[in-house]
Formats: sequence, C-alpha cells, structure tokens
Amino acid sequence: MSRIASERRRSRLLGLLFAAPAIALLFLFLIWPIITGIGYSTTSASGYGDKTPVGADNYVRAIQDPDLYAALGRNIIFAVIVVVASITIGFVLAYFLYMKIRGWRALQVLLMVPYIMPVVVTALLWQFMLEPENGLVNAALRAVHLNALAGPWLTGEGTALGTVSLVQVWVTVPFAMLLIFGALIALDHEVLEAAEIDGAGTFTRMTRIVLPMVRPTIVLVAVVLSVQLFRSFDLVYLLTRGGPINSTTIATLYVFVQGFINNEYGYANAVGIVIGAVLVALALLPRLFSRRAAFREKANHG
Amino acid sequence: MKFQFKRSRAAAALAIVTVAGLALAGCSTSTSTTSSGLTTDPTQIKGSITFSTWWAYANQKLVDGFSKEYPNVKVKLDFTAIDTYPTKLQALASSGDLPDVFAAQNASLVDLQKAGQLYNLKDALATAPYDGKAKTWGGSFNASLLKGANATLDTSKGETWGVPFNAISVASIYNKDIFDKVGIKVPTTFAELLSNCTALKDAGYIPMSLTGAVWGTWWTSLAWDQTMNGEKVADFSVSDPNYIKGFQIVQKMAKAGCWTDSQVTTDIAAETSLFLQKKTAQFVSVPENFLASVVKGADFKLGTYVLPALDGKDPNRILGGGNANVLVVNKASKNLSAAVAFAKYLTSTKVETDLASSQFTIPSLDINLSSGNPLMAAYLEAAGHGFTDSSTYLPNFSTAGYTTYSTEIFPNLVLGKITPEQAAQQTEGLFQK
Repeated sequence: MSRIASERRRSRLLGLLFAAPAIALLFLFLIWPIITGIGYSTTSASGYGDKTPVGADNYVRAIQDPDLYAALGRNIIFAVIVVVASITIGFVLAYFLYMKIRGWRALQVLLMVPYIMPVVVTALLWQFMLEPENGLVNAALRAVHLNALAGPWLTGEGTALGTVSLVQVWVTVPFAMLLIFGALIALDHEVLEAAEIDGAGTFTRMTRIVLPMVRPTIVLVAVVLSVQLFRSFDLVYLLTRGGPINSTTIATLYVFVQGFINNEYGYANAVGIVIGAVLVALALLPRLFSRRAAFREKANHG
Repeated sequence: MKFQFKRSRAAAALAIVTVAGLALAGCSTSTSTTSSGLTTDPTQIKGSITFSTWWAYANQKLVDGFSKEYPNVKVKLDFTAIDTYPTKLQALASSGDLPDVFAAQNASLVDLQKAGQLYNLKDALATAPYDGKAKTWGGSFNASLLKGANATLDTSKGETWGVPFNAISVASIYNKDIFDKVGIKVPTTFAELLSNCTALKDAGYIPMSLTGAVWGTWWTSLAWDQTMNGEKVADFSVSDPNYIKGFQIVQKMAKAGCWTDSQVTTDIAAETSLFLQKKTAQFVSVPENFLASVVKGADFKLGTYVLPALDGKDPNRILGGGNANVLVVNKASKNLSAAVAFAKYLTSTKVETDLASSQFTIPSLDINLSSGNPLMAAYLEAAGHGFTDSSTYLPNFSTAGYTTYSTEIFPNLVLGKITPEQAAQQTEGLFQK
C-alpha cells in the first residue's frame, strides 16, 4: 500500500512539475494583474507613481456614478443590436452555405474576410466610407438623390452608436455564421429529407426544423458574443474615441477615459473590477441554462 | 623636545594644507558645482541619459549636437507620437522608468508633479545658460512662457518644475484661391471674420477648421483673454458676465456657420485632409509640423493671417503653449547633471534659432527673430502681441473637469444644444480645488 501511495505521490509531483510553467504563466498574466488591479482600486492613484489608500471609496463612487450606468446602458444597446443582427444574418448565410448554393465554397471564404481583417484596417476603411462630406456612403446616396439619408454617421450624437454597432455587425457576422454552420453540418440529414418529402418549403424547413435544432448553438453564440462585446474596445475607440459627446462611450472606453485621460487610475481599476464581475456573471449564464435544461429533461423523464 | 617640535610643525603644515584644500574645494564648487550639487563642467559630466519626446523636430541630429560640447555623455532619443505619448509616460512613471529628460504637457505634467516625479529646476535656472547673452538660464526665457509652463503646477514653495521648449502661436492658414473665388479678404475684425464665415458657407465651403477633438477649446481661451483680462482669479465666478461672454463669442461663430456639426469630433489629420482637399477654406493651427505638412501637401496658394481680436481689444494676445510644450527632468535620474545640461542645450539660443529657421517653430527664449518663411510671418506677429496668461483671471480646470468641458460642454455649445449661460453654469465644479 505504501508503495502504491508513494507511486501516486510521485506521479502527482511529476504532474505538478510539468504543469508548473503553465501555472507560473497563469499567475503572472492572470492572477497577478487581478491582484494588482484590486490593489490599485483601493487607492487614488493617478498612474504616475502616487498611491494614496482610500479604502472602498472608489467602489462607492462607482456604484453612484451616473456616467458609468450610462456607459453600461450604451454597452447593452450595442450588444443587443450586434448580437441580434449578427445571429440573424449569420444564421441565414450559414443556411445558404449549408444548402450548397452555387459558389458556396468561394462564398464561405469571402464571407470570412471581415472577421480576419485587422481591426485598424476595418476602422480606417469604415471611417473613410462614412465620412459625412467625402465618404463613399454619402456620395453614393447623393448620387441617387437620396440626400435625406446622407447622415452624419460616426460624427452625429444620435447616429454614432447605431453606426458603430452596424460596423461591429459587419465584423461579427462571419463568426456567428461559422459557428452556426458547424452546427448545421452536424444535423441529421434524414430529418430534413423527411420534411422535404412531406412538402415543407425552404423557409418552413429553415424556421421550423433547422432553427430549433441549432438553438443551443445559437444560445452559445449569443452568450459568447455578449461577453466579447462587453469587452469590446478597439473598434469603437478607433472609430469614434467614445464621441461625439460620449455617445459611443461604452463600458471599456469609460474605464480607458478614467484611467488614461482623466488620470484617475485607482478609480478606473475599481470600475474595471465592477465590469469584470458583470462579465463573469454573463459567462456563467450558459451553465445556468444547461443546468435548467438538464433539470427539465430529468423532470420530464421522470 | 626637538622631535615634538618637528611633530608640531608637521601637524601645523598638515592643518594649513587641509585648510587650503578646503578653500580650493570651495572655489571649485562655485565654478563647476551648483549649490544643489549639480556639476556644470562639461569635462566632469559623464554617462548616458534618455530623452523622450513627441516633438518630431527634436531628431537624432539635434540630439547629437549635444555631444560636441559634452563628449562623455551619450543621449538616447526615444520618440513617441503624441497620440500615445501620455499613456506611455504614465506606464513609465508607474514602473519607475521615467526617462532622464522628457517632454510633458497638460494633465500628465500636473500629475507627474503631484506624484513627486519632477526635479525642481529652481537652482539650475540660476546658473549660466548653455549659450546666449542672458546671465542665467532662467533669464534666457520669455518670462510669460516660463510662468505659463508652471502655471498649473504647485509652485507654492517657489519651485520651477519645467521650462518651455519652443512657444506655440496660432494663426489661420487660408486657401487664397477660395478666398479670391468667394471674393472675401483677410479679416481684421471679429465682425469681418463672421461675415467671411457666412460667405464661405453660402458658397458651399467649410469656412474654417475646428479640430474639435483636440483644439476646439482654443476659441473660448482666446475669447476669455479678451473678455476677462484684468480680472482676478480670486474673484472668479461662473456667473461672471465676462466669463459667459467668452461662450457667447463662440456661439456667434457657430451661428455664423464657421463650422459644420461634424467638426466637433474632427482630429488634426481629418482637418488637414479636408483643407488639402479644398473643402475647408481655412485651417486654424499652430505652426511646427502641422504647417509643414500643409505646405508640403497643398496644390493651391497659401496665406496666413493673424486672428483678429475676438472682443475688439488690440493687440490681442495669442495662446503661447503654456503647459503644452514643457521640458522636465526626472527627479530620480541617476545623472542629474547631464540631464540638466541637456535641458539647457535644448533650450539654447543656438538650438531654438536653428529650429525656428528650418522647422516652423517659435523660440521660447527672449530673442528676436525675423521670419525665414513668409507663412511664418503671421505666427511671429501673433507671438509678438504677447501670450495669454489665463492663470491670472481663470482657475485651472481639473484633469477630469477639462475632459467634461472639452467633450461635452464645448461641443454642446457649438451644436447649439445649450446656451452660453448654461455652458458657464455647467463648468461649476470642474476647476482645480
């Protein structure tokens, strides 16, 4: 027995030894920054070397900060538009690819371009296209006498958030399409063939048969996208820097402004922790859904 | 006894030598070491230092010029574009890796000083400059610019934290072809400026740049220097009619159509692009690399003019840069003597004169220069009127307060969403305490 115990101990130690580099990296790049961030969040640091402790003042301020709630509200609007539009368009495109329409292989590659394009290139491209005076979009609209539709896009307080969301949709659709397409090709073809024999049209098969079967994947995509969009920073920053008049200042941009423009580094860390807690809650949602689904299935079977 | 006498003689000789040595050391302190311990003799200054900046014209050739007089000092130049420079500086300050000599401005400058990262240059400013006629380094500067460089900092104990590296001046660069086509002339009064805006707008042009993302608030600064000049900062109130008048002046410009709504968010690159594409008739800008890029890219006739007084008080002072172009020394520098010597070199008559003749810059020293390029004439003339000194009549915005002012209040005023009175009221609580 002692030989077995010592073998087990040796085996465990060997495993730890092999895992040590990964654990060290995890600590260095994940745990340590979180600990440091929590440390900064209890100070009034400007980020320039000063660190006066203030306890939980930053968290109290964050909870009472209307600008933070406004940023979170904009983030929710941004996420809802992007998730709903990306999944809807992604599903339709995935279905057409699944139906193997003519040129579907080339189309599959082409449709991935927005997703793999570097975000700086995407931002520059859309900034040029949406420029109110000289941009391609407004020039095209004016050319067909639709001047009324030639809007300020990224430079208008009322239009900027919607415009940024649509640009994000353009980037995100390929991701949603790819995941849903993966779920589609795993479907049982016989079910669809049977439906076709029974006289179900394309639209009916898509909405009444295929859609329910890929619903778990769609839910997963929705949750993953939502978490990603709450972490989103680069595209929005490059397009509008949070303006005009803070109309596109989403949560991460709000943290950036507090930390690097207002030099309220301690407060920025506290807000970051709060937003992080929101993201963790979001990330736990799929687990909650799957537990409920499992519970319901168990209840149904008895 | 004889031996004791010899020993006494030796002791006396030693004492005399010691006293003489101390006296000589005292002499050498007064010539090559300052009262704060800095060495000033070039042969005694050795080692390496780092110089960080966003000034594109502070290039390697300029830096290498220092080595001619200080051959034992190696200077490493670290250039970062202005967009990311403050963030980089913040990261360096946080990790204790600030360069020995570096450029700083605005909010970064304030927070660096508050965090105790800056070296007090007061004693160094009392020593001789690198060159020039001034007796002291401090005396070589334009007094209002030196004051402006430290105006937002805590100098309650007589400290001087930074020196101005080149002044800025603001003028309008205009498209002569558009002016001729529309039939307007260079404005000499505020009323003419407004009527030009209306005429240009009616002709289908964007009358002038705003650069709302970065420089928009210049207009209120220029207006307040006219309306509030002579008032005392201790008496300041957001209800002061002269303070509100500054906002009214900007509102008049907006109503005259000087800017489009989109310009509240334009950055320098976008405005430069619109001007070079002949969409915007005038580009209100500082010189330096901005004027250089316009000169390089324009395929039309260019002119510059001094902005007219916004409230009729001539000669109107111009923005000098204040705390926008400041050179500072890291308090924790391991080679303070070399760092201060390099700062003196950068702000020397030779360097600033050379830059002014080749790089569209304006010296921060008290020297007279004639313009080498006709386009610089307006900038030098504006600088000759003197620089604004807002700290005498207006409290400084806090860092977060300025963000709120520049990203919300000012754009809303320009867009006509708030009145000047509302804009003034909304600035309550945004100033440094």
